[in-house]
Amino acid sequence: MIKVENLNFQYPNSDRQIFEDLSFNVKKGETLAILGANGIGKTTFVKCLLGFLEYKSGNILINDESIKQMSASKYWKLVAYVPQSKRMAFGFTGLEMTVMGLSPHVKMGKLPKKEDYDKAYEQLKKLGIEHLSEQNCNKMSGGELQMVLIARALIKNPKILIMDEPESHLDLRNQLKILNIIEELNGLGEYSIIINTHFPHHAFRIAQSTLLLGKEGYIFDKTENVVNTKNLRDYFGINSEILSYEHAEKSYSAILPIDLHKF
Amino acid sequence: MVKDRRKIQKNFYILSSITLIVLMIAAICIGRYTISPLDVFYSLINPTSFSDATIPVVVQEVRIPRVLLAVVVGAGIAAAGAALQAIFGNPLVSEHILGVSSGASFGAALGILTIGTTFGIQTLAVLFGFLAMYLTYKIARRRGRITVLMLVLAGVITSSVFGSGVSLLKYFADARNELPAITFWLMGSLASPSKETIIRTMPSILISLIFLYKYRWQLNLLSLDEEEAISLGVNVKRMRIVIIFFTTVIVAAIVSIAGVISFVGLIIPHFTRMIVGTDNKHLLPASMIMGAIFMLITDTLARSLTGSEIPLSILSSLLGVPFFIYLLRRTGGIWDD
Repeated sequence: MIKVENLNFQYPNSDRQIFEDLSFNVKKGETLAILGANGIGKTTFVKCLLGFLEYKSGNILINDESIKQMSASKYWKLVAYVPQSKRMAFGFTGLEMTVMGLSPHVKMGKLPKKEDYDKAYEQLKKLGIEHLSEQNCNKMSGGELQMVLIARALIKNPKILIMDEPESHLDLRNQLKILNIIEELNGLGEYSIIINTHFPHHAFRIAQSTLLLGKEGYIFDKTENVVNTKNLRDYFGINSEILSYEHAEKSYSAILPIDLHKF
Repeated sequence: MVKDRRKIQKNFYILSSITLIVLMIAAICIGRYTISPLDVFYSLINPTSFSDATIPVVVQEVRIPRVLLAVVVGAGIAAAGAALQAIFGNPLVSEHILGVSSGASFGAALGILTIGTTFGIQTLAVLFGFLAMYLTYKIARRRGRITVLMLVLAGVITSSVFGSGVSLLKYFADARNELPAITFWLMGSLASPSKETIIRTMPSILISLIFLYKYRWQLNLLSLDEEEAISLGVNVKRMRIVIIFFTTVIVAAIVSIAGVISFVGLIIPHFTRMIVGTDNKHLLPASMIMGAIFMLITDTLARSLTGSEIPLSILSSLLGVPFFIYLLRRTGGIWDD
C-alpha cells in the first residue's frame, strides 16, 4: 500500500541528516507505529509522508505510484491526516467539522449537500459520538475532539490514515478509547494506519510493525522485535523491564522504566 | 439543540431581511427633507403626479442611490471582514486592522491628486490595498506561522507607513481645494459620490461579493491550520490569493468612494457569529445583511443627527468600539460560542 524507499531528509541550511536511507512498507490492513525520542524527527518524517516537507532523495510510493507524481487531489482522496487536537480560532460544531472531511469531493465554490451532512452524522454515529454533532469543538474535551477529528478523517473513505500523536495529552480512559478505535479500524483490514506515538507500549497494543527512529539510524521490524529492553536503552536512554500480563486469552505488555541509562 | 440552531438561523434570515427592508424605506423617508412613505411609493410609480417636483427628484436622485450605497458598502465591508477573519484563522482581524484600508486610502488619495478619474482612483486604491496586505502578511509570517500578535502588530506597522504616506500627500496638496477634499473623504462619507460614481463602482464590489459568497464554505477550511486545510484537500495558497484578491477589491472600491469606515468589518462578523454560529455557510450572508443594516443606521444618523454631515468613521467607531471592547474582554481573542 504505502512504501518508502531510501528516503533522505535534512532541513535546508543544516547539515544534520534527520533520516538517511529510510525504507519500509505498510500493507493494507496493517498498522505501523513510529517511535523515537523527542526531537528525533518523528514529526518531520510524518510531514514528509504528507508532502508538507520535501524530502531530499528517495521515494514514497502509494500503490506503486510516487507521491511526487501524484496530483494533490488524488493524494488527499487516498490519505487522511489526523492532527493532534487543539483549540481552534473558530469553534465549529462536531458536524460542521466532520463534513469538512468530504472537502476533496466538494467542488470549489459549492457547498456540501444534505446527503453529505447525513453522511457526517452517520460517521459520528459509527464512532459513537453523535451527541457531539451540535457541540462546539472548542468546548469539547481533548478526547472528544480527537474522536471528531478521526471521524473527519474517515468520512472520505481513505486508504491510508496518518495520525500524529493522537493519544498524547489524553487521560488513560480517553487514550484507551482512541487505541480501541485504531485497533477496530485495523481489524477491518481496509486501512493502512501510520501512527506517531510517544508510548512504546501503545505500539505493542495496536501496531503490527514499528519504526524506531534514532540519531544513528533506524529499526523497522515487527513490533515485538523492535520494542525490547535493549532498544529502549539504545534509543530512549532508559533501563527498563517489559512486563506481560494475560487477560481473557490476550496478552498485554507494559514498559516499566527503572532508571536513566549511563552511556 | 440541532433544531434550535437551524431555527435561529431561519428566523434570523426572515427577521433581518424584513428589518433591512423597513430600514431602507425609513432611510429614504428620513432626512432634512422628510418624505412620507406614500410619497416615496408615488415617486417611483408616477413621478409626474407631484405638484412639488422636488420630492421625486430627492427620492430618485439622492435618497435611493445613497440608501443602496449604504447597503452595498455595509454588506461589502462585513463580508470582507468575515472572509479575512476566516483566511487568517483569527477572529480579531479586519481590513482596517490589517492595514488594507490604509493602503487603499493612500492609493486613492494619490489617484485623486494625480489621475482624478474614478477608474484611476480605484485602480490605485486596489493596487496599494494589495501592497498593504502583502506587507502585513510578509512581516507577520515567521517560520511559516502567523500568530495573532504578529498579525496585529504587522497591521499597525503597515497602517502607519501608509498613514504617513497620506499625510505626505496632504502636505503637498493644495490647501484650498484638495486638502479639505482628501480630509473629509478619508473620514468616511456616503454623501460625496455622485450617482455616476456609484454606478461605476458597484459592479466590482458586487462581483467580488458574489465570489466570496460562492466560496463561503471553503472559507471554513481555510480558517483551520494551514497543514490541516491542505490535508482536507484545499489548495490553500491559491484559495488564499483568490480570497485576498476579492476582499481587497471590495475594500479598495469602498475606500475610494466612501473613505475609511472603521470597525464595521471587525464587529459585524463577530456580532453575527454570536447569532448564527461560526459556519461561514451562514455567517457570510448573515454578516452581509447585518453589515447593511448597521451601515444604513449609521449613515442615516450621520446625515440627519445634525445640520451638517457627521463623518461615518466617527460614528461607526463610537458605536463599534464599546462593542469591540466587550468582545475582546469576553473572548480573549478565541471564539468558542
